[in-house]
Amino acid sequence: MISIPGEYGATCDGFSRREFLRLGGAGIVGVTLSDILRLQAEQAPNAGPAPGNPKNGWGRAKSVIILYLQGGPSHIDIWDPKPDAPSNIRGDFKPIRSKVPGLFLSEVMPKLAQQMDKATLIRSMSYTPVGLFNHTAAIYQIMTGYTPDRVSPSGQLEPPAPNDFPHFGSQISRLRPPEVPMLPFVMLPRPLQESNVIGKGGTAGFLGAAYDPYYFYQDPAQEINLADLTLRQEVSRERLDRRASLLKTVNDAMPDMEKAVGKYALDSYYHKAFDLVSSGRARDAFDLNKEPATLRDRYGRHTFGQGCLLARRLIEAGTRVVQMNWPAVSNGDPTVDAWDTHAANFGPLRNLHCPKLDSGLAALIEDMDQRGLLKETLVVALGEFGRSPRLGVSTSGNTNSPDGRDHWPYCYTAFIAGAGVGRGAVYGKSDATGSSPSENPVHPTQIVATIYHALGIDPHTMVLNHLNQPRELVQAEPVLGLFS
Amino acid sequence: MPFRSIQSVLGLLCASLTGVLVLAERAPDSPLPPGPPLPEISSLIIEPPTLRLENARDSRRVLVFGKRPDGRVIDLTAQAHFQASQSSSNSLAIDDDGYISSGKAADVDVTISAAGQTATLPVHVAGAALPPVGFVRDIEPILGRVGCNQGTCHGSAKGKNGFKLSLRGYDPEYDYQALVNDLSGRRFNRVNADDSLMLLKATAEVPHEGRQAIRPGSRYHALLKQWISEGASFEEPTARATNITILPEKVEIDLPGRQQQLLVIASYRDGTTRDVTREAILTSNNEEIAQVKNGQVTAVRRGEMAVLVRYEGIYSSREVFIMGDRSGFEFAAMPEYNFVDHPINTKMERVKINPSDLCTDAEFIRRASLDLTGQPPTSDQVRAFLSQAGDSRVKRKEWVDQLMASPAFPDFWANKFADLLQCNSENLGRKGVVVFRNWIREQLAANRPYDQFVRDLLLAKGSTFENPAGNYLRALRDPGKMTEDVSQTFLGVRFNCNKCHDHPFERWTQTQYYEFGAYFAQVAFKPGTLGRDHLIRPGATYAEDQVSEAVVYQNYNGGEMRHPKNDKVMEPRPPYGKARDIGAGEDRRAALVDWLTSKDNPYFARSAANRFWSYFFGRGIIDPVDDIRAGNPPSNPELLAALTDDFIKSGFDLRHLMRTICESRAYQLSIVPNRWNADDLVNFSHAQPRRLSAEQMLDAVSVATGHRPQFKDMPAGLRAVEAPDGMVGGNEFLTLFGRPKRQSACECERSSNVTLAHALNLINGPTLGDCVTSSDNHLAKLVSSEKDDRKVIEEVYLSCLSRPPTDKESSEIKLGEGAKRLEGAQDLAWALLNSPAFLFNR
Repeated sequence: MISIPGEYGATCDGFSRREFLRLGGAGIVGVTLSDILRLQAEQAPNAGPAPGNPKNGWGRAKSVIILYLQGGPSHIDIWDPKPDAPSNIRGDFKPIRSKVPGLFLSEVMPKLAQQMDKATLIRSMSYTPVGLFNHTAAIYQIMTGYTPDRVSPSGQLEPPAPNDFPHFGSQISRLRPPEVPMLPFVMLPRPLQESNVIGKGGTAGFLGAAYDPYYFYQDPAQEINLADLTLRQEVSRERLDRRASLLKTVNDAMPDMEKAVGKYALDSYYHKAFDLVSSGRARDAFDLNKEPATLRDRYGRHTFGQGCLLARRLIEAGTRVVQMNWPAVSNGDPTVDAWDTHAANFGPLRNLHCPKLDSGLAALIEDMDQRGLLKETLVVALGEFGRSPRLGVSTSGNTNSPDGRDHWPYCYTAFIAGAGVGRGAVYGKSDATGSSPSENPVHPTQIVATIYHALGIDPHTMVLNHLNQPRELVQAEPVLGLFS
Repeated sequence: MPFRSIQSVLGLLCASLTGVLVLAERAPDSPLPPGPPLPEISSLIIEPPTLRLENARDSRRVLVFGKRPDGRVIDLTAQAHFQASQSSSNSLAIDDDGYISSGKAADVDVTISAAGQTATLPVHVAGAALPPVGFVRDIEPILGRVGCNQGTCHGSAKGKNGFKLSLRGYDPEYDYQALVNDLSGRRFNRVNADDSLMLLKATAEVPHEGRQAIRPGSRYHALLKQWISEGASFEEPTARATNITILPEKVEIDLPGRQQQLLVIASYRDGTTRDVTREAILTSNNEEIAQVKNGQVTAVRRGEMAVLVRYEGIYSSREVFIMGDRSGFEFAAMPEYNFVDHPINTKMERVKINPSDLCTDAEFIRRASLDLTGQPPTSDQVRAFLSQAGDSRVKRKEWVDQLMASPAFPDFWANKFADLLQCNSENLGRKGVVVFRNWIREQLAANRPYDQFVRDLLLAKGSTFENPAGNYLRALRDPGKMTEDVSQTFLGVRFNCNKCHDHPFERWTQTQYYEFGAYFAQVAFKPGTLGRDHLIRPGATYAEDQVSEAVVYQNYNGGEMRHPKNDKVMEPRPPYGKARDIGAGEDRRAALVDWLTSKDNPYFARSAANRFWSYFFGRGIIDPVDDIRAGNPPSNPELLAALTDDFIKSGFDLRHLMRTICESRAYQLSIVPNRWNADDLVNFSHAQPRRLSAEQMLDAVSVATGHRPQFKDMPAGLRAVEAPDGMVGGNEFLTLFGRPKRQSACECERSSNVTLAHALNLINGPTLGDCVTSSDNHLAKLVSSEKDDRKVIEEVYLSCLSRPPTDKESSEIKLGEGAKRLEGAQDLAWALLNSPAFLFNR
């Protein structure tokens, strides 16, 4: 097979030509990842002292799972019950005790309540939108750490572009490539999407297409088709090698063609694809049939539950970042289990969404903990915002039914666990109506900073964009108080 | 720098009191290239050459250009020094930015010096009166400039903390009422203006979530204060500016790092003008090429961009060209095959680009075949074309005609139109998509004029089975979607923002949205009677084909479009131009289509010409093709105008349009760039490789291998472009490679990227794998009948890449012996199908 020495290892092959040039042609051999990180850190004008202390969570994570609850789940009805608030705020659900004394969840999360001793709730997530106030802008912010008005005059109404800021998963796959031949960054079961704009905030942007996530388009609750990852019957390993070298011969004879399509990063994809097919590692990771039926049942036999299980298998196989997007796109339709509950908030939450979220997340945390994976994996579940404490009011300009809740970025909850994050804790506090934080507000870009920090990457590291301009990974501080 | 402080105020305007938002504040501005040394300057040119100040509040500035010995000019406004003549210096004020104002009527000369040269600017001060401050002329623009009425602050749908303004000030009357009457007028203290809440909030002297938007003592502060002291009056809304002019007319910057100051002059109904550069919002549409601050453009690198200017609901743009170092350039025009080549040559000469060479015959036959019929030529066709003697240009013309006459031509374009017209079974049912797609194909096969085709779609009535054109409106369903999709598809204009408020980046208003929608308000649908008997597949159940016939009809009794703000019934009216009156009892759509498809409609033919151009070049002259607006100007206006005129003259003949494009020299250029055009992406100086579409790729694999994958529920041997339904299942390949589901009018619904998933599917997936190894394909037959390895290799190259192998390729490749020989041929086909030369149209 074609092997690419260092493609996944700790050498600089994964870095761009531009960085080679900067490091000087002679110095390539022996330049390690840490050298480059150090160089990048030294270049950073405002890097400040490196926050390198394992006690505050620095470098405790090897990988990250993001359960992205796209649409904006209602914090009051799930994570942060307000039983003493007036009925047009507290809603239909009652609080239940969790395994942690004094920590209550909504009654629709009974399974997770039993796992709360392993996780932290951040009940003081808060931001005021910059630019337009809608899903895409919010998604872009939490995925890239930047607001979309930084890249386009009309904001986020445009499809992904090569000058977009990269998703943090793309940054991580570049700065911390996997140690084994494995997909560095997987997004399932679909790319991010909102209002016909597909993928905004979910690409490698200015890092170049080679760092895009691997979009896994299949529904993990269905039988997964592994054909692309399984060597075909008539193609032996030797034959695949032969084909690969033939492809090289064929392409080498057409240098003009190769040059003309340079921006598509075909080479890099083909190298990775050959590696993946011949190692079989990715195929095995995607094969959920290897899991006992009882465990699969526990995660829940639905797209979200099986997606959580798949996320765990991918992390075990060496993937750095897995993002599981909530399957239904936010569309305000009460018959679909999308979190954007402008209409009919309670029935669908009780019957459609929450049972799936509850079983999938609870099983993932328990399973990861039992396997020791939680120690070195940061698990984050959150949406782009919470929902308006008052029922039936319009906060975003959308119409809401009397029992619906509108967007509410000013206060909501994020779930976070693993990699040294406090077990059985609550960070921050919301006020009596869940309208604004009353203690320790956390901006979503701080979650991005916390993810970098947990992986041992200084959030202030400067990365050069496609025009060689330095850009900070994220302009926010990690939330060190989360780590025990 | 004054602009920086405004920027940071804007960034902080909506910060919450907790201060967390500080985190999201803007990054340090991108470093700009250093300014190059000043060239020799022989004299100064002042624009405008004289200034007239109307009154004591009028303040204006000029642009200062340095003329070089070779006649070229560069902007020196930023480094110019202004000095009023001695006698009058006490009456003339000149601020740091060069703004001149005066409190005394007089004629004064201002001496301007820069780069060692001087010039004189005569200033005529007509009057010394201090005119009253007007809300519409003076105050509203300030609210816009400092950001009070932006979407995240008081301009949001619900306002902010009990105070709401119209988004970006589109409704001055509303804003005035909001300021003056809300809170029982508490925002103003007319006796002691300084105690007005409006000032205290804006200057953050009382807590303001938006922090300090206006600095005490600043020009804006003084204006607001005086407006309040004078009684906070409202002049007529007609006092709003009617037009803006951007100076200079033409912006050409020689080198990165160099700057050009712009001036924005507003004109008013009463004939007066005003310098509004400081209040206008100027943005760069491409920060990578040039940045804009404080009205000043700074070149970042060679290229073309536009500065978008917005002032009080008026939109305009100024194109900027940055030449960069082109020393040694000598223009070598391409031969002009037809009229489209001329404006391309002219533009290339101006921006110092040389065109690439002509593509080879083999490249042409593949490119034209893929573009016109969606599939590459067969190996026999390639052989015949290459061996045909005679003038290559004539041969190519004939090939284009031959392609257009083939049945594959309407098949391919029917697929393209079915995308735009949202032909999918979710909307139309299984039978609906078949009859609609077939109807579209018939129109294309008959070359029905484009305007007639659009008329049929929009005027359709009756059963959607018997008159399939009705499926278009049926797929769109409601008047809102009809408004948005009809404007985006047939005018190239996006109308979706102004559904909820005036368009934030364009002149379209919310009222126009509902007036346009009123044309569709009476389009109604009812279930038809043709159902069970008309199932498309024998044996299918009714439930499977549940979306059956619909009847489109005109509901004269109901169906009005109401404005969401005041519930007023909207009269049908087009967003620009004039439509004829609607006759008594006449379908409103008839008046609409007369207006829409008129040759005088400035968008209809133009957007179609531009769209079709993009199908052959991978990029529109205006791009994206369905987002035509002031801020998205054409890269070559003369080219687009010529193409549009010709399209209209031909009677909206789509084949004529496509033939014109294919016969041009520009279309036939090679993908190989030269030293002078390698960085050009917008001037059509060389061909851009375009990834094959999902359907093209699948059909091309079939042509190359002779094996056609079978679609679920479809007849055998069907080409991918013949599948009538965007939802057709059973082929993950098409979905993976970006075939749209046809749920949107946006061209962007089709994706053409390459990712790891695509690479995996191509090297190891079932589609390509099966085609290459199936026992019934060309390769199996070829290897058993042809004993000469060279000939086998040649045939595989011809069928996969539409060209014979070079001698080097042919000698380097070895097929193997005996049973391995077939494997070798398969592997070669596999490798060629995985090479960019196959995956791209080039």
